[in-house]
Amino acid sequence: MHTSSATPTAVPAGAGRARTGARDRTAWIFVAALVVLFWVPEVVLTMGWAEFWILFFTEAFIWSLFAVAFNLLMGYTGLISFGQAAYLGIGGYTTGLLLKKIAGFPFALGFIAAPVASALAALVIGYFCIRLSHIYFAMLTLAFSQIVYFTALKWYDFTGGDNGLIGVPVPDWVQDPTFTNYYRFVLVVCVLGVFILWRIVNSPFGKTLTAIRENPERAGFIGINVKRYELYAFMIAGAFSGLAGALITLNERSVYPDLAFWTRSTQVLLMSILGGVYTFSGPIVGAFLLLFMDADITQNYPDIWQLFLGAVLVLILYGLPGGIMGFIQSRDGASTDDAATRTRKSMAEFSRKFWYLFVAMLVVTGFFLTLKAPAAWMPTLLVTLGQAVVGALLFPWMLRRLGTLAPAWRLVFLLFPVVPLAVHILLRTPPSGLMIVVLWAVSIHTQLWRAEIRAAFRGGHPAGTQPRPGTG
Amino acid sequence: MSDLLSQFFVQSFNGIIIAMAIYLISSGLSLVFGVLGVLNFAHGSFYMLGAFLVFTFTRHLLKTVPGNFWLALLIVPVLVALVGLVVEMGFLRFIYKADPLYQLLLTYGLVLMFSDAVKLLWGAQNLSVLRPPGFEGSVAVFGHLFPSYNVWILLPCSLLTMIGLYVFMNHTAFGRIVHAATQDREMVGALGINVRLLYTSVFAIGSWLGGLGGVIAAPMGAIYPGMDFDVIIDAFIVVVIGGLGSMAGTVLGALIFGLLRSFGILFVPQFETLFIFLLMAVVLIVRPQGLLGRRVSSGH
Repeated sequence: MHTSSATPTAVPAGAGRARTGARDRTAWIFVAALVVLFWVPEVVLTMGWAEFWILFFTEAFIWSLFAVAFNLLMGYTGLISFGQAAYLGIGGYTTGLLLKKIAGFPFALGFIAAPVASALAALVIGYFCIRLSHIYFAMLTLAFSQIVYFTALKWYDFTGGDNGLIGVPVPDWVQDPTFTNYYRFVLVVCVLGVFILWRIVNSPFGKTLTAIRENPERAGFIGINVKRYELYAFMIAGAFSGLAGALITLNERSVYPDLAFWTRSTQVLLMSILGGVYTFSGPIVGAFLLLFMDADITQNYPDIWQLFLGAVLVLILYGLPGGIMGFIQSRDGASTDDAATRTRKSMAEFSRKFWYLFVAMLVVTGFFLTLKAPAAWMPTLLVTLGQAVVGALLFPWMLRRLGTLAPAWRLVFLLFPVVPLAVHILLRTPPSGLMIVVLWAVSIHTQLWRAEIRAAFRGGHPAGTQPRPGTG
Repeated sequence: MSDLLSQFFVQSFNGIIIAMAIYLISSGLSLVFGVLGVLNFAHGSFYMLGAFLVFTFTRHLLKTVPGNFWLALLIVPVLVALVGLVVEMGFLRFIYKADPLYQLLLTYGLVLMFSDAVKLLWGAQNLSVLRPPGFEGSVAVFGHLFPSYNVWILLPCSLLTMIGLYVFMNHTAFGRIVHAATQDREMVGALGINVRLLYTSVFAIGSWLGGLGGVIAAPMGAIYPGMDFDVIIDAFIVVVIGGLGSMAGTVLGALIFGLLRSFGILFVPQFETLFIFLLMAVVLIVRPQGLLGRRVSSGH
């Protein structure tokens, strides 16, 4: 088996350094993940589940690698790129073109060429981009990625244009009927890639990047060549994105210009935001969740995938700016029930915002209900209106009472409007329904917690103006 | 020789038509960025909403009313402005202090929601709006035929918008405040202007312009879900080239965009879009603030 040689290389990498207790443990997590996930196809096939799950995991691994690479830029260096798909495309086309156009080209070489080409492209593009800040950086990365996209789309003689590059030759072991071999190949490459990225962000180099994110001026004053470090980060992110692109090409045995289209860049951005950009594991969680919701919702509600995605994005940006993993990791040691700090003022401020969210959720509920039974739009309207009336009458009272209730009871009260939504989504499309309900509950809890903190410190930011953590 | 000259004229005129169409959309985007500091991804959605609403008005609601297109031209942008009002008061208002890129992401979330909402309401198929009676044919300009709709409706509407915006920004009290806010937002607040109200009204005006762009563009081509994605990137190019927040820059950016596109089709038919993005990249590299934009710090 091709993969057996890769397993031991991951083991000693974390060992043998001072103060690496935590690192050693995490290195073992990588090994354990590799070993456990290695047998997923066996389980799927033995249990007689659909081979879809093997393909799903393959795709999720590739996107996880892409998202983690992207997050090296976004979360760790503070550079938000709107054109990361360019390197996905460059990597994909490099492998595709080398294997397809040159007969008998060694597979390994064609595969390795992808990250190299992407890194070189990132070096050139990054050289210009890192000179700009914020929105201008985002726009320039967008422009370059569109240049890559249109080159791939219009250069028919070389890339095949919008017909794509079909029938990229791959070795026999990639093409087994149950997709198991390719799954394992992707698994090993992605675990190794993510492990390398994890070592990078925990190295002095990675800490320097975090310092730059926190305060570029100060980082510059202590002698860090900010631009050079940013360029390195840009190159590393580009290289691993290119690797992910090559894996996608091999997965589909073809490349289409779509790989470099700008919506791919926003997709990876969504994954990172969803999972949490200030954690290492966040983008992986985000990638799995987003792909899972994609598969689930496009199956049940093919027309409203984007509506759902937009709602989740808005909910995350308001309720959970740190993403899911950011929320989980920040809960440790946070005090939430100091009764003295709960003032009427903060609750009033909170209730106003909560009201908006409630109305938004009613609208979403209405959409879901109408979709389930388009003919019965009248009952839907009545149900939605009934909820609105009940909410309008009950909510001010509930929110006034909130301050006197125990935290657990507050949560129960606040979950009240979710129940009707939860019931019908759970009946129809369980996993995604659960997902949106959990997101809702968590964001409510966060809001409540934040309102208390604000009250405790008297003032601070007005409702909803949550500055991005980490901007100096 | 005269053949070449006439071709040059035709392409220039076509370029100006493209420029005027994209100007209507970009002006609102630039205005909103200038005052609010928000690069509004959802601006394309307002444009799409305008186009779909004009379809509903002319094909269904006011089907038998004579001059229904002109009524729609008056009503639809106002409706779109109301949607913009709701978006600003319900969503955007809460995140002005956040990182600009988070604002961009929020408006991207709105784009996703709008695009599926439109698909649910109007369906996924291509729709079309008839040109108003009397403007279906062509008209000769210096011996060359052009669609009369483009010459007699699009062009005057854009020019009127241009003049209107100029007069509004420079010769009305409220416009002067808006103009001042594009120069220095904090100072405007410090001088006792109700900034919250200012932001809301500017966003509504921006959405009105987006809706107007949608109405005017509707009879020129197909109306389809996804036109928001197509137009917003073009509008980004225009405002980035001209200078984010600069009203004169938007005119210049739109003209460059239109002419480059029409001559690009003539000389490099496949790669004209590529050249536009190349120009955008070059402008950002050489002059990040855009051709007519104010100086921004190019570092962090």
